[in-house]
Amino acid sequence: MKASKHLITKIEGHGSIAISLDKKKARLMVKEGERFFEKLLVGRNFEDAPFIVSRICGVCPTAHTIVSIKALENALGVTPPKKAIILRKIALSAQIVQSHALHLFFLVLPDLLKTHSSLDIAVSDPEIFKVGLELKDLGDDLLDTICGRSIHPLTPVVGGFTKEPDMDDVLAIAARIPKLIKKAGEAFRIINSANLPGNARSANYLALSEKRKGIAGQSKNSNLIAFDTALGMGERNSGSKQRTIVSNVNGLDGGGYPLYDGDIMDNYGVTFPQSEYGINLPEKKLPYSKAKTSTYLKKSFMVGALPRLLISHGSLNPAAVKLFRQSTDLQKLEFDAYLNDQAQAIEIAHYLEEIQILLKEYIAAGNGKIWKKFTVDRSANRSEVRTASGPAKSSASKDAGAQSRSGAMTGAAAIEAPRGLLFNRYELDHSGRIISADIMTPTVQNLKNLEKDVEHLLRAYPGKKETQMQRDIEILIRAYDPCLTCSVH
Amino acid sequence: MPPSKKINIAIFDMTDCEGCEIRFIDLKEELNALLENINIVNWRLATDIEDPGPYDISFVEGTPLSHEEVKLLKSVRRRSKTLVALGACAHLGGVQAGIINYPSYSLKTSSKTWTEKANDRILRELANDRVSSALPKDQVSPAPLSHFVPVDIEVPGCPVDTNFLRRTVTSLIAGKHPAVRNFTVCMDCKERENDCVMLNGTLCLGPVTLGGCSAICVTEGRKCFGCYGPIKDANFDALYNTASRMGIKRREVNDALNLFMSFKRRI
Repeated sequence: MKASKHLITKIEGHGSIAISLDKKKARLMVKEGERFFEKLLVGRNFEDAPFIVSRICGVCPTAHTIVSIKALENALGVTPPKKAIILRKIALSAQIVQSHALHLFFLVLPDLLKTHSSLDIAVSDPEIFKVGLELKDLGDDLLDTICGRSIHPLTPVVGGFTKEPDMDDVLAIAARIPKLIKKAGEAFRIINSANLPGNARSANYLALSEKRKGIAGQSKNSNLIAFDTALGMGERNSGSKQRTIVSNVNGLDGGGYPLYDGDIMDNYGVTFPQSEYGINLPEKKLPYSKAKTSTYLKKSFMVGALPRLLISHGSLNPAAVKLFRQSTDLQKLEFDAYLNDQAQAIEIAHYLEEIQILLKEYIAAGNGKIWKKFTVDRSANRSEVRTASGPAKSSASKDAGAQSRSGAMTGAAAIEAPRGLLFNRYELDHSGRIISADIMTPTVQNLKNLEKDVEHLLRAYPGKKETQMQRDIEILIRAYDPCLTCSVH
Repeated sequence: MPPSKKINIAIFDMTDCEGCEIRFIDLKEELNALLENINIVNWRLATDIEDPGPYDISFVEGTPLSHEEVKLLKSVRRRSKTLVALGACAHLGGVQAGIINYPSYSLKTSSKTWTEKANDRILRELANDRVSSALPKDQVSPAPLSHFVPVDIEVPGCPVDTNFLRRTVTSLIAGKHPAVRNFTVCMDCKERENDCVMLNGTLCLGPVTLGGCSAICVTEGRKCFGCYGPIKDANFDALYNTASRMGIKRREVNDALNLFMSFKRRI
């Protein structure tokens, strides 16, 4: 009877893994302090929500901000202008590139290059370290320009953006993309050539799908069918881009590569709407951890880069397709959490190209608005006192929609954050104050599956030395890119 | 400082979003240049080696929210010549400190720490293929670091500004204490030639907030949220009065102040 505990370093947040080698059991004990974000929001004006939830995570604040805005818009019945949605997608793509670069180059590479720290790599392999910095830089610079700040964005608000980015600046930054796509390929090759233990098993996984496609195997069944993007790309109607279905081994076609729109699709091709996440993915408190976890069909599941790739690999952009073809492991389309690192490297290339495509769309959209004016009747909480010097409040608030007056408004939304599906749901009173808030982060969804993977690893390699096993487990946990900071909020 | 002697730096995080420590990576190539003068000997996000210290400079971000974290903070203090509170969480208690001003908030704190004993119990149960024991209630009310230990330098901001961080790090390497600039965000706005958002009827915390941030929020089309904390002798009464003249209720001002100034306003 033996069990041991280790602090996991090089992940976002604090946690330890407890392992019982005899019983093949693992428990991830998350030790972040509770900050009570859902409680903090209650009673506040809805405008404060995106600003506050951003503080859940400094690695993916843009994702938290945008999903919050989207859920609030659903509650208030606000439709943002098309240009604002394109900008959000660019920001989300930039966020994913930046977060993946941070994870792969600063947290994962030390394992693969057998050093203790990314700071060692800065000295020993400055070229590789530089690629990581350049990728992260690109994401940061785009977010600085579009969102006002790379950490805790400022310009995205309910209804759109407060400010239109300087397109000359944006295009100057985007000019760095083609070179970086090549460099992302080098990163992929380092990760692809790493000698990691296999840990394939059958597991459930979920990602956004841009269009409902039904059960597996019903649609396309041959390899390499080129089809027009307009198919299944939601509001994207430029239709100029060719996408290739690389393989249809498991018959899944998630539509456009997941990011902003669509239903939630599982590994069987079954979908459910974003707003129904609460019923489909119930949350449960864990006795030994400060984080909750959620289940799908009463089982653990994974969200993130690997699920997105397994479900929607047919919609990858060309450079990412090339990388995907080089990965014999991923081509098998089996679930193996170790491959999440490879999937992230492929996604860096994909989302870099996506940014280029979205920028073209943005420019093609012309001089449209990026913020939609809307009103919420605030009479319940605004003082009637108006002095001559005080500016009059917008008189438009008088004719707020009937919907706003009729009591509580509820709205939910999902997006793909770097680490996977991120959900928000809000209930607002007639004046726009928050009655209740619910936030479900990717790591919350992944925690149970992570433990299952560690247990599978323990069973798969029974004779392995304990020190080697600990190392393999730590690399596996890191591959999940868990954000324990996000998991306790 | 003779070049042969590198300065030992440690970076610690309590509970928070970790955005401020990522700002170190945002220093980019300068980080490489800095590494010639400093040794980052302890940084959980970057390395699995734990150097027990002592450290010349410790950067601590976040808010201690468990007894274990308070214990760590005190031990870091003992092992550090200079302790820097990095970012609004460490400096002010962060947005999470807002919870202390909720009327319904009663913190179910307990003196029980997540002790080694509790750890052992979970491990024992795991070995017996049974995990049932509840986590010991281990919650500490959110507060700035200075509430628990003496803090030498505070780097404000949510998140910290890269320039501000750079200046602090280089000053400290040179053996200097970076000066505190005691002016409000309104000064920054004048410098950036921003229109005053208060004139448009938006409640802005600029007049009571410590400046030095280049008024980034106002410049980007928002208002000041007060993340640098209150300026010394801030005139909150004037803020309430002005808001009242603008037709903004006291509750809204309280809500705004309760983002980053919860702790400072409470005491």
